[in-house]
Amino acid sequence: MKQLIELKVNGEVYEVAIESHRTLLEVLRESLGFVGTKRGCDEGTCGACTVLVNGKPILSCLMLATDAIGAEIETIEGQAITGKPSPLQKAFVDYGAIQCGFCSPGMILSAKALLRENPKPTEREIKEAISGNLCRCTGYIKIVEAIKVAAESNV
Amino acid sequence: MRLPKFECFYPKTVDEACAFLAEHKDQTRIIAGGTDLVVALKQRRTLPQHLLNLKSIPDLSLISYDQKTGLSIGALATLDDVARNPEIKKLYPSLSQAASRVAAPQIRNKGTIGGNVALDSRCWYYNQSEFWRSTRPACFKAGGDCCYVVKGGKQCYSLISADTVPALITLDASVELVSKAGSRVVAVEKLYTGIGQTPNVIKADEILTRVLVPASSLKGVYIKHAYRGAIDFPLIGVAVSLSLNGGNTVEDVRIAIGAATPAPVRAVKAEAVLKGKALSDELLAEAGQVATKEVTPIVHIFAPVAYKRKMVEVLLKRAVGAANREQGIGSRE
Repeated sequence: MKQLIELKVNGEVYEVAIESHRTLLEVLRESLGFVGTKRGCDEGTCGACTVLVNGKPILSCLMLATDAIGAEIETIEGQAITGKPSPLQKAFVDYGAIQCGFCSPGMILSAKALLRENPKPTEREIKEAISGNLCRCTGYIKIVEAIKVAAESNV
Repeated sequence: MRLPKFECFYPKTVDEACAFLAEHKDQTRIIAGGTDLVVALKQRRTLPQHLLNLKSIPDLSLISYDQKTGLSIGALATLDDVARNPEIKKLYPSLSQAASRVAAPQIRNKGTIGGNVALDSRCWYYNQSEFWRSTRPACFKAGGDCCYVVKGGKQCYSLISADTVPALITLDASVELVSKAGSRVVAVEKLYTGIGQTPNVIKADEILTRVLVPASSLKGVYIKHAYRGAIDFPLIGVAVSLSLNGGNTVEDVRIAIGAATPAPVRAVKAEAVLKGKALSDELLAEAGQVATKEVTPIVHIFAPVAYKRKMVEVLLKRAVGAANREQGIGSRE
């Protein structure tokens, strides 16, 4: 049975009719068109589907969409500021932390949650914060560097 | 992977949840964080008609501490909440460590303490996609009559692989189980059956509502041994709680070993070796040796039994050493 729910994504409220067995990832990508959130392993291992729910990184492939009612959801599409990449996004580009780009939305959102809570993280804290995000282009060093630079420039 | 179809019920109170469960227990799975169950659903390892979603019950995620009654953790407290709680960090460091080592940050932000304690047992042969399983014969857990992991095995040897469980056992913790008929409290140590298909004694109409830890628990440490620092389940998890009698004589000690065997093991013989004696390298070596005889590890696809057995000894020595340092007395490894 479909039900009408409201989801607040990147500050805007969307009304969507869904069945109980839809994940947040499916609703974001298929019903609302936020395809920046990637479907990787689809079983909670790779971190590509990471979004922020009430400021905390979670895996949207494991979250029922109905569990996100009333929550603030942030995706990669909401990161740009007046059409320009956020400082974190810019640092990822400047420091070559993006190769194929598939892990980047999740990486950037995990990093964003970290920097909000801890604006001056140590390298170890950065590595811990992105430990649930796999990059298969082996770009971890560049990614850690980019997050460090973004932290130093006071995002 | 799409989820199978189900209806999701959001109760407002524990009573309402219990009433729903009393009526539909055979077709219902309880969901809290969902980080384990949603994968099981996607892999078609379970196909319930209903999900009973505890998320809508207020106050089920409260953590409170009282000097007399001890610690009470609502089943829906996330593993991240447990890991970061200042009182748990200070008074129950092994529990904080165990919670902080589960999977990855995204999982800890959603996965709950109740879910970790009630985690389904795991096996590399069974915890696979529907497609993968369709290419192999059915094991006990899939309704077959043979174990394909332990040769000649007469039962399912899936492992309880939860990180917080060994820590909770050494802290003498228990869980509150509530059903329409009433509530009961079961020690975490007595919660697991050692049988893979029915890994714990929680009944189909019961809801795990709280984890309770006594105020008098000994302090300790938890060490997780896994291939990767994040994401992986433990190959072995060892928790040790310890109190020292002046100097470095062991007054009391509790040791629990998880993930090596279908049910976590309390290493009582190794405890007996340590009790009343002064800690030394020789004593630790002896305790480690004794512990390996108390545990019969189940083979892992990447870890032979002999390796796991050896690591029980190594980890036990490391954990007792670390617990000793945690006491702030003595200085030996």
